Amino acid sequence: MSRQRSPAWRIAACSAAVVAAGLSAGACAAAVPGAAGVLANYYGNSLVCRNEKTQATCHVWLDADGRYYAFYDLGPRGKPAGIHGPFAIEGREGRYTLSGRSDAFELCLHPRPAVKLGAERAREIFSQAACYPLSRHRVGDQWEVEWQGVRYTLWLLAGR
Amino acid sequence: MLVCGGSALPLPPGRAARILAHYFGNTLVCAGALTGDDLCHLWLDRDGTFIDIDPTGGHAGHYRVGPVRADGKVPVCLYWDTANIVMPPGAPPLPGATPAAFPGKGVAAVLCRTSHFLTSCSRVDPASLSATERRMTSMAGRFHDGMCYPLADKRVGDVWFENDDPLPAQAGKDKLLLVAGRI
Repeated sequence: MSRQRSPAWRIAACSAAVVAAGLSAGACAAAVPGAAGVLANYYGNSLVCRNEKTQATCHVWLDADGRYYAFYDLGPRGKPAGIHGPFAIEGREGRYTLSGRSDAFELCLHPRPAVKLGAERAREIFSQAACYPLSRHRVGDQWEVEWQGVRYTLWLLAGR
Repeated sequence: MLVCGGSALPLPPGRAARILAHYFGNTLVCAGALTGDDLCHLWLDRDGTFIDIDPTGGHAGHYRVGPVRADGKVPVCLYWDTANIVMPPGAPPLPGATPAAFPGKGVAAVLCRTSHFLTSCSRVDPASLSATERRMTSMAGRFHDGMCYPLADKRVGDVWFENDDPLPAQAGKDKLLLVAGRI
């Protein structure tokens, strides 16, 4: 994975500016050249993933203000859900930053520290505090990536 | 049918807020009363919005709270902000998505109606439904129009059974868990 960061931009810095100045997300995007264009098709839509080995799925929502939500369906867990799990369904929220170039970049997730997820233990894509390769896509696109030795199919699907 | 204004409403102060206090910032897990399967995770926010997570992903929405019932439970009506489910092409059918048989009529549909913060559902003959009613038999259509669930005053770590699930699967019951944090 390329770690090259020039020219780089970071949405997190933009989000802080929005909060401080009470600006709209649109104003924020305009202040960070390239950022809005790169992620524009992701906003309001769903980045969906499927682990081709386990068939676990995820839905990721990226908001223009730097927040994200990720939802996982890990499949049957083999025993009933208890107060400490195991859970077949999980969700997570946090903030993201974006770095890299406008054609191939990294989505760096900063989940709100809380409960350790089963998806994290399973090293599912988008489940850990890490940077993930992503690229510019249009709604309806389907593509494949490899994350920690596992092949994933990804879709950018309309709506949430 | 309960008509919803379409915007989130702040939680009214008082007894209902106290009953729901421990749900905020935590996760209400609903599991099948019969199977114990993990079916949904609900994140309620104080501002009147929520996120409901199920095997089809997350669903943002807003909720309305009814008057506290005689049994001390508060009805919470959930309205998804979308009537769609986002799933990739070729995704396998959801567990339980196969409709039950309707005696003598083939496959039954489940139609829910809400009145005065109470939702009741029944199996009906799909041929008897109008186009609008048919739309409401899908999970997304149902929740877009609002589904009400009574919630009791609970603490994190509590596990209980709720007899008032309006949906007839799992004998109309839920196993509920109030789990710390958002998961």
